[in-house]
Parts: sequence; C-alpha cells; structure tokens
Amino acid sequence: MQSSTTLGDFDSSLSQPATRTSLGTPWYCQLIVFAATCILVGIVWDISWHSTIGRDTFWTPAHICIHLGGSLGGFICGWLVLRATFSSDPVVRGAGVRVWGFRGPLGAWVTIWGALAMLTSAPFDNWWHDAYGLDVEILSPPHSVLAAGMYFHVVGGLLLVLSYQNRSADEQRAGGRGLYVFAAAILVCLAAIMVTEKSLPNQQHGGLFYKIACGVYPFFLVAMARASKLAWPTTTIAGIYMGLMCLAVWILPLFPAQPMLAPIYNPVKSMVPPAFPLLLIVPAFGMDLIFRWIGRGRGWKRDLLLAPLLATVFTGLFMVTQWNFSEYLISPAAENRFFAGSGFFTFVDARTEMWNKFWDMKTGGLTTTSALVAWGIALAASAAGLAIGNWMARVKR
Amino acid sequence: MRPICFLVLLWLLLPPGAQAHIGSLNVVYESHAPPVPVRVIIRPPGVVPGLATIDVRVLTNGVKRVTVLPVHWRAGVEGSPPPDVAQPVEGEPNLFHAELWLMARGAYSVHVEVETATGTTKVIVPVNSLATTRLPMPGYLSGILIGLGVLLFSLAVTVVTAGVRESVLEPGAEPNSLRRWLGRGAGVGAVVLLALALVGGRAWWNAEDSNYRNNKMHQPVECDVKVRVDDGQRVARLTVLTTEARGSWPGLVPDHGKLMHVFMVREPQLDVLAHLHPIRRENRVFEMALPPLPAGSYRLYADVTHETGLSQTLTALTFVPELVVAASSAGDGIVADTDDSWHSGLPLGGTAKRLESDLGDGRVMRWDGAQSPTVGRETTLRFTIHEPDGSLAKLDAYMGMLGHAAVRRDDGAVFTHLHPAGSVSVAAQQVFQIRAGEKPPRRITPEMMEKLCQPPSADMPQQPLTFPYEFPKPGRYRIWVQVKIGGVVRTAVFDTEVSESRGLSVSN
Repeated sequence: MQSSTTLGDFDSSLSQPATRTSLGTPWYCQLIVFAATCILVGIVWDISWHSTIGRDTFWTPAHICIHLGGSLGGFICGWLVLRATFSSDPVVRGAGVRVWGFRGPLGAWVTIWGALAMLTSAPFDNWWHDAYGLDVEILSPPHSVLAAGMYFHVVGGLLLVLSYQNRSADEQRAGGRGLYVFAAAILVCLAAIMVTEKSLPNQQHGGLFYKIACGVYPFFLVAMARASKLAWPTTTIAGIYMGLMCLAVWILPLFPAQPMLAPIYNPVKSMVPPAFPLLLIVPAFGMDLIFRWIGRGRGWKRDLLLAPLLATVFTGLFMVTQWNFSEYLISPAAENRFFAGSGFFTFVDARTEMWNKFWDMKTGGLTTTSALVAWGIALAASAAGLAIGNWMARVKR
Repeated sequence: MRPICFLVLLWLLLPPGAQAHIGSLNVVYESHAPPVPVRVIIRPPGVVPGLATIDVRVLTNGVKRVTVLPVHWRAGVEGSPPPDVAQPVEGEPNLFHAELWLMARGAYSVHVEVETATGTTKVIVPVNSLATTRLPMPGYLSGILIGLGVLLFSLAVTVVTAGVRESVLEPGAEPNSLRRWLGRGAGVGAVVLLALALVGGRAWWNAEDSNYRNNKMHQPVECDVKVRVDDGQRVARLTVLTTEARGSWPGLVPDHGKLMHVFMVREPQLDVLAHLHPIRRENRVFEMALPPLPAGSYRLYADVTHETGLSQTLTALTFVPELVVAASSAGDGIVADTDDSWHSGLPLGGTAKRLESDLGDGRVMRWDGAQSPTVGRETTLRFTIHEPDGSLAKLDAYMGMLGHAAVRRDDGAVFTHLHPAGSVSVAAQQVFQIRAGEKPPRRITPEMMEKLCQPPSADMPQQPLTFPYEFPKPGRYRIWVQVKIGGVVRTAVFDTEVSESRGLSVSN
C-alpha cells in the first residue's frame, strides 16, 4: 500500500519496500506500538501480581515486560535519531526536528525522554522501597516518574505514527490510521490505570469519581479523535480501550496463583483481574455523533461550539451509563467470569459487606453541585483536548 | 536535593523507641529442646512493608530441610502463604538463610521447622514488624539521580522548543522567524511548567517523608514516672501516656508471671541496677515500692507484652530522692514483689580486663570464652558461676529462667533484656503458640499463659549459663547477669567494648 504519492521525494525513504510492511506502515512504527503494548501489558500484569502474589523483585515477568517495552522503544528511537542525524540523504534528515545538534522525528525524541525517565525511576524506586517500605501506595514520587516515562514513551510512539499518517494526503487511505487509534487506546488505558484507585465500581456513585473521569477521559478522547482520520475515531478508541481491559479481565483469572505474603485475608486462587472497564463506548459514540454533526473542519469558532457540546454529551451519557452499570457491577449478579464483579479485590482485602455497597456515600456522594463541577471540568478537558488535537493533526515530523 | 542532614539529626534527637528492646528490632532465639537444637536470628528491615532476613543455625548434623513461615498476629496461620525453604549458607555448616516479607505493622511470629534425620523440630519466634528507620539517600545515588534529572529537564525543554518550532512543518522546510519565536516561547513555558512540577514534586516528597515520620514510623509509647515518699517508703508511679496519635494500648499478658518488668539504671554511672515488678493500679497506671537504692537520676526500661504478641520497652527518666525517714512497721505501703532484686556496685569505667564478678559470700561469676564477635553477628555470652571452693554453683530458677541479663550501651542507645533462650519475649512466644493451636481463642487469658510456663528442664545442664545475642551497635556496654542461688538473687556486672572491626573485649 502506497500512501505517500503527494509527498514526493521527501517521503521517498519511507516508500522503500524494505521499510514498509504489508500493513502499510514502517516497521519501526509497528515495533514502537508493540513496545507501548508491552508497557501496558506489563503494568496490568504487575498490578495483578501485586494483588495476587504480592512478593516482588525487579525480575518479575511483569517488570521485565514493562522494561522490555521501555528499552525496545528507546533503542528504536535512538536508532531513528542516529539514522536521521548521520544520513547523507537530505530527505531523511529533513523529516526530523533538531535537538542538541541531532535530528530525529519528534515522536522519537519524546519516546527517548520517556525511556530515560523510566530508567531514572528504577534506582529511585528501589531506594524508596528501602526507605519508606515497598509500594505502600501506587502513587509515589518514583512511581510518578515511572508513570511519566511510560506515558511519554507511548505519546512518542503515537506521535511517530501520527506524523506518518499526517504526511498522507489521502484522508481515507492514510497509512497508520489503525495503528494510531490503537496507540491512542493504549494511552487511554494508561490514563484509566493511573486513576484506578478512585474508579472502582464501589466508588462510582461518588462525586469525586465523576470529577476525575470528566477531567481525564474527555481530554484524551477529544485530542486523539481530533487527530484521527477514521470515521468514528472516539468510538473506536473507546472500544479498543474496553476490549483491551476486557481481555485482562477474562485472561488473568485463567492462571492459577496464590498469595505468597502474610497476612492473607482473601485467599485468591488465580491471578486477580482489574475491575471491569468503564463503558466509555457509550459517551464516545455520542461524541462522535457531535463531531459528525458539527463537521471535521477546524477553527476557534467551531471549537467554541464543540467544547461545551462534547462536555455535555460526555458528562450526561457517562453519568447515566456508569451510575446504572456500577449498581450491577457491585451486585452478586456480576460475580461471573464475564464481569468479574468483586474479582478485583486483592489478597489483603477481607471480604465484608462493603464489597457490595457504594463507598463514602454520606460525605462524597454525587450531588447536583458535584455533577455541575464535573461538567465544568469536562468542559475544560474538552477544550484542552481540542487544542492539543488540532496541533496533533498537523504534526508531520 | 533533600534536607538529609537535618532529618538525620532530627532522627538522632528522637527519644529511644519503645521497641521490644531499645536500639534494635533484631531477635535471637535459641532452643535446646530435643530432638533438634536450633538458633534463629531474625533481622527485620526497619520499614514496613520490608524484607526481613532469617538465619537458622541448626546445632546438630543431618539437616534435611529448613522452612520458615511468617504469621501475622491478626491473620493467623490460615492467613499465611506456603512456607519458604531456607537455603544453606556456603561455608557455614548447618546455617540456613531465608528472606521473608513483613507486609503489615504489628506482631508477627516466624514458624521455623527443621527436619533432620533424627526428627523434626518446630519453633515459633515472635518478632515486631515496625517502621523504625529512615534511610538517608547515599551520595552516589543522589549524584546519579541529580544527573539524570538535569538531563531529563534539559532534554524536555529542548524537545518542546524543537517540537513547536519544526514539528508541523513539511519535511525539509526551514522554520520562519515566527515559528522560531514560538518555539522559544514554548521552551520558556516548558521551563516554568517543569520547575513547577519539580517544586510540586519536592513538596510531595517532603509531605510523604513527614507523613512517614509522623504517622508510619513507630512512635514510642511514652510513660511518666514520678517517685513519691509515702510513710517513709519511696513509691514509683508509672503512667503510660498513650494517645490516639501515639499508638494504642492493647491488653497486656504476663511474662513469666509479671505484667511488667522494670529495670532501673542509675545514670550516668550505671552503678546501680534494680529489677522490679510493679503492680497495676489502673489500666495504664503501675506502682512499685523502691528498694533501698541510692538517690539519683534513673533511666527506667519497662518491658511489656500485649495480647497481640507485640512486645515493647517503655522508657522514662526519673529522679529518686534520698530516703530520710525509714518506713514505719505498721504502714499500709506497697508490698514489694518477691522477685524484685537490685544491685549497687562500681561505676562504669576503667580499662583493665576482668573476667570475674563478685557475687558475694565468696561466689564468683566468670565470663568464659570472651571471643571477639563483631557488631551484627551472632554470639554467645557464656558465664559460669562458682562456689567458694571452685565448684559450679547450683542455680535456682529465677522467674522461670536460670538467669536474666540486661545489656546496655553506656549512652542508653541500646538496652536488651536477655534470657538463655535469647532476646525474644517469652510471653509473645506463648501468645503465638496459643494462637497457632487448632482452635485459637478470641482472648488470651493469664491462665492460658500460666499453663505454658515451664521451669527449666532438670535434664538440661545448668552451666555454663549462656545467652545468645547480637550486639547491634559498637560502643561501650555494661552487662548485668542475674542468677538465683540458695533462694537469693545475685547480680554480676561486666563491662565490655564492642567495636565494628576488632570485635569484643572484656574489661573491668
């Protein structure tokens, strides 16, 4: 598949048969997205490992998976930078941005930064464990450095695929369209994982959950959709997010495992899955309808109309969907292989009646005020998403 | 990057922790019970969750397998994972090593099972899982992290600048002046954002550190001790000062028949030692009649064991006034415990070697085989007690033990109450033993504890009297060893210098 006919000589290097695959994207784009997938799989696996087995070393399979993804992306992007810098071909050199005398695609630089941040977090986290105890909280300063590294590693991969997609003049047949939305869904998964401690089904009648969700998901969905060339980008990204997380929910419990640390209050017998994913596909479909109704053109006047519409559609549909769905998720009826009901509780969570109740309802339940605040946050997130998405749609290097 | 020096100084200024013993969480336990005599050393990590190391020295040959299992007091054996197999240590016959995660704060017991050709022995060793240390960051690591941080900061700013300047241009096109200025502006914005992130990160780190020190590190349970004179009798009143923020106070269980064992040491000379057993007046108030101690400042160490299995040593400083009027014979004063004992002797000082301590009536106690163990390595403090004619004295049980030893560093940074079985709390061991049964009771009663109190076996040799121990820090130590002979408690005193490299020497 050739998609670079209008770029003339500047994309000639990417048009070489040796650098393309049958999927129509260069091999390094596919490998970088594979590396991002490794990071996502590693993170989900690691959380399950901590929830099930508990015993932790640097050399657990989950950690190896994460750092394999990190190093693979780092090496590929390092090679891209060296190739662009030292190539005698002005076409290859021209497809990069200049940093400290080197040249390379913007995405490669961002991934290199992410890989370096991941590398930095390792000794920092190791010392943190010795100083303050092992992973008392998911959100700690060294974990934040690791999370930032993983995020920007994936963002870099996304930009790399995006620049390839954006160089194509053919909107309908642009190379890398599928790879781009897949990478975008990985970013949404990572965002969901970062806020997982505040997004459990038992918290989904609380105001805080909706404020956080309205701050995170509209931003990512709008930004990623804005730069996509698919017909239903938001729905596709949300669908892939749900599919990936559902795979984790269904596959992890297939592997027998047991806790290896005391105290054990919940003697789990297999790998603990994450909670069933949020039904983002519903508000995402609504957002796509808005995008299609308003049209794909860009401009601040259009965005001024889009932002409140997208915020309203997301907030309304998300609240109605998740409010009702969470009631099912915490009920005994959801205790099955498909929804995995309370399956996400770890080996240190003693079973109580609270497993089947909503938490913090007296002080933190969803109120009209908190719903309005959530809408306001969604508005800001949508506006930011549009701004970032507009820039992403123009990235060509 | 961090105010490490300040925090270390702050940590050093903290009062001694109310741990099971002062200065170290390490426990040493030795059992000579058949069929397999064994010594267990557990070194908790000092952070929670953290990795404890366990050494099991089997004092016989033919070992087939050694397993270790951590049991949290609340979860019990059914809430424990499969045991770990300890691995033999190369070059150390019959020494086995394992590492175990202690995930929660509070009392744990480690079940050690040793399988040999002659039989299997299972011992329960209590250990406290507490956050007691705050690790400073090594200089080399600070250097590496600062270097990587500078690299990440500058790379991020440069990439943002380059990205805004060139990323949306067609490949090969040169940025115009506007794009260059936009790039510079974005770079400045990135600097500001990253600086804010760094400031926020620093504040977050400081908040985590402060939270760790104030809420997660074990807070010593404070106690207040006041000495009053009632009808010619000096009475010390010990009040446990617990608050919600400084730890709870679960019920106490008796340790060889006493709810609390108090050691009083006169400071700074360390020339007087009293081993007393107060009576409980209220839930957290204890009183004890003081023996005829000379006046002065005394450091109190009060050992207690909770029904959770957690053992602690409370500390306080108090002044004992001179007794000017003798107690009236018909007074309603407090009756001292029959097992109370005290000793007044030479102050700490001098460097000449002395391997003997006078016990009175011509008896002497000798410290045999004063090798040179190093700090942090197991050792055996071995003593023999001789009658005036040189023969070995016959020892009576003193509170269920052949002997008690108190080990204190001159500055008070280390204090340990030792038994021939080591530094574990016998009461804590009994608590875990009861809980490990088939039907663990909801409450531990003194009667249950009493049933487990066994006098020293008549089949076991009384001498030499040995105390397994591991000196946690270098410095000058005083060791008091108490035995009961002919119904009278006798106290021997030894001074010693423990160094990091040169080991142990015995002196007077």
